[in-house]
Amino acid sequence: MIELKNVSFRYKDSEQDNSLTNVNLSIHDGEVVLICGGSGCGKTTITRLLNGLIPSFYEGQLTGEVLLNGENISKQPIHKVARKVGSVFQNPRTQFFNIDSTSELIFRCENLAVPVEQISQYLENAINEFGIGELVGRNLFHLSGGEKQKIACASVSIPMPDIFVLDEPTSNLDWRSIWMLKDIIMRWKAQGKTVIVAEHRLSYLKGVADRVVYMNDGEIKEDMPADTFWSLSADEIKRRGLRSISPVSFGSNARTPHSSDCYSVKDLSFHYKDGVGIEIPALSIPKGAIVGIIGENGAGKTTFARCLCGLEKRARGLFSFGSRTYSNRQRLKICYLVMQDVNHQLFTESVEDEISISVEHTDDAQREKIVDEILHDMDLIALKSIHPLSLSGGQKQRVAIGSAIASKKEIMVFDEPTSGLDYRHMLEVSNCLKKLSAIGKTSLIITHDPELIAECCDYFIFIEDGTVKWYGPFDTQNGQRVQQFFGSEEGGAL
Amino acid sequence: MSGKVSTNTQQAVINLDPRTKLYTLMVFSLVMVPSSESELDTILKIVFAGLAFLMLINIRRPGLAAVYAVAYCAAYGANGLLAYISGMSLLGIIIRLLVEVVLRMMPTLFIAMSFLQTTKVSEFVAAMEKMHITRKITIPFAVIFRFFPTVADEYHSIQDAMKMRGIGISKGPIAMLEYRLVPLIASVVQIGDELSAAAVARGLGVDTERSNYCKIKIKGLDILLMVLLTAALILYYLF
Repeated sequence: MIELKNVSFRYKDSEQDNSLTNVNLSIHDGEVVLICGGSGCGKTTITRLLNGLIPSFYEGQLTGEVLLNGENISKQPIHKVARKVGSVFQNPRTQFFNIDSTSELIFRCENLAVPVEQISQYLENAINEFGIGELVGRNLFHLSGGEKQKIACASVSIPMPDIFVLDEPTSNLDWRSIWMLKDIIMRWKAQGKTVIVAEHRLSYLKGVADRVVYMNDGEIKEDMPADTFWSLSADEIKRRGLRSISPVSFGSNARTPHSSDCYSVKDLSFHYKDGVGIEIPALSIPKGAIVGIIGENGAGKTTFARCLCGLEKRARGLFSFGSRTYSNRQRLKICYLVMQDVNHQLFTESVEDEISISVEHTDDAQREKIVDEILHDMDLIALKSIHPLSLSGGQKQRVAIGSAIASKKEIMVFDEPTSGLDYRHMLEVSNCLKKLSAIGKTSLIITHDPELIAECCDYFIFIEDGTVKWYGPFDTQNGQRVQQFFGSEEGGAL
Repeated sequence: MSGKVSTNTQQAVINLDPRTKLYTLMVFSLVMVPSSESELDTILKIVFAGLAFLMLINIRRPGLAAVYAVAYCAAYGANGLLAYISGMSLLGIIIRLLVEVVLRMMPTLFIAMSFLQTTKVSEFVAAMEKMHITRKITIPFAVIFRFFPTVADEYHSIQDAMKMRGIGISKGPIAMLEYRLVPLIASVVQIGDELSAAAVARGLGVDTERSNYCKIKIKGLDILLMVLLTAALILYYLF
């Protein structure tokens, strides 16, 4: 039994008010509880209280009590808490300590001083239970996000804790991996474990969660049985700023790009040294379109994007617009890839500088005018003197886009722009894409987010096994294809 | 995008104990850096350079070993010629600098590289625990292992980002450095923070009891190598 009694918390050095205010929550053994709410609502803070990272790792002002079976967790050393609570985090990339998968699997065992003979036994069981035979002894840097998350889940379940705490575990996963994670949570549930999941993505937890806690502004606003939550209407869900709880429909919102001028791609091919790569015989992309690039992980979406942007020098093929053709090097000038980790793309000390260094004009007045216009278009005026790295994720993304506009890029490619974003922020991204389209820029979006696609895409490229299986505007037929794609991975749960 | 990073789990032909590798690295640093004019100094430095070559072969990097051998011989030859050139020209200084880097630093760097590439984090931790070194020292060093591939990964992404922004040499070398380092440091700090939180939540503590699954053992070859290195060290500093 977990009890939070009048818990308030404020992070040290935080400019915000309390991250949690007067939270009361009790969770019974064997319950699966979903904690949802917009970004910054305090759900991550709750997970940190439960796994002891607050106050051991994240310092701040904590009042109230966090009790696990009557004992105050906050007063215990964290390695004691680690024995009872297993934690899985958002970013698969940063939650492993080792470089090889086997060492990572047994890392928790070693830390908890489990005798070596017993570790072998545990390891063998975990390999069988999670079906990860082929992931043993591998370099974690070479595994996919889903595979890393699987290793993370396996490693926190040996030795078995009583409670699992998951903080946005699916943020960086494709649908297939999400369904794999669902299976794992189901298994823990069947074993009678308590599972607490803080999440934006909700639909996969249908039939898994017993209870749903909705938070806003550091407070628990609602605490309801899962059945009640899943019977809420789409509007009621949106009003709470939550992501869709039912599969997204692509039936009614068909739309096509405005322009009939197209970029055309012919015989694009590129292969990595290990032979994996892409072969695309022909493809056309309307100027000003918002293109959804969809397909499973490992199908070649990112490789395609990198080739298109001219980042892979060895890529061969013809890329043209009208009568003009663009070499790899020339494409580098007109294309821009907005990376998932936008931090890599911001170099300067203020938002204004970031945009200004990309403007070519030498005339100061002219330059200033262009910068102001872009700042205005991207809603960045108020932030113009702030250091880019201190902005929120969505704001950073807009700065990166702004700098791309400043350097007169025609085509913007986005790599998973909405992973880990709540409904409101997803809408912001979608609006931004629509703005780009309105000023004639073409956007290509690599995404696993059906809601974003339904919200703004008007064209699709479907990639499978390193080639384009089909492409075309968002008409009824293609809408159905997309529906099927997201539907099929949900195991026909439509 | 993480496909380009070298693996840290690759197998060497002959696996040495992490303690041996650490000791080798230490002796290398002590012998290769100081300079003296004695004959012993010259001989030892050549022997050590040869040892670094063997180490590269041992970690299955024959190509790199060949490049290294050529560079070393060239530097050695150039060093001999430099003795006949009197006066100080800028070119002379640059060549001398390059020669010194190849002759003195490259062997040690490759020893360090082979150490990093063939040692698992857990093996390193096990070795440090066996030497009864406090975890306050061990953990930060273990994190460094984890960080090498991470930094390489991040650096590639940043380089791509710069290419797309069209930020080239034209902005000046200082700006180039700044534009690379600022995002690199920002992401490394963030990764470090998340990484530590995950490790702590998995029960990693500074003064807690810990078990070690990884078996490391000093074998005959380890002993032989350590004895030879110690002999070299004594020779070098006593004579």
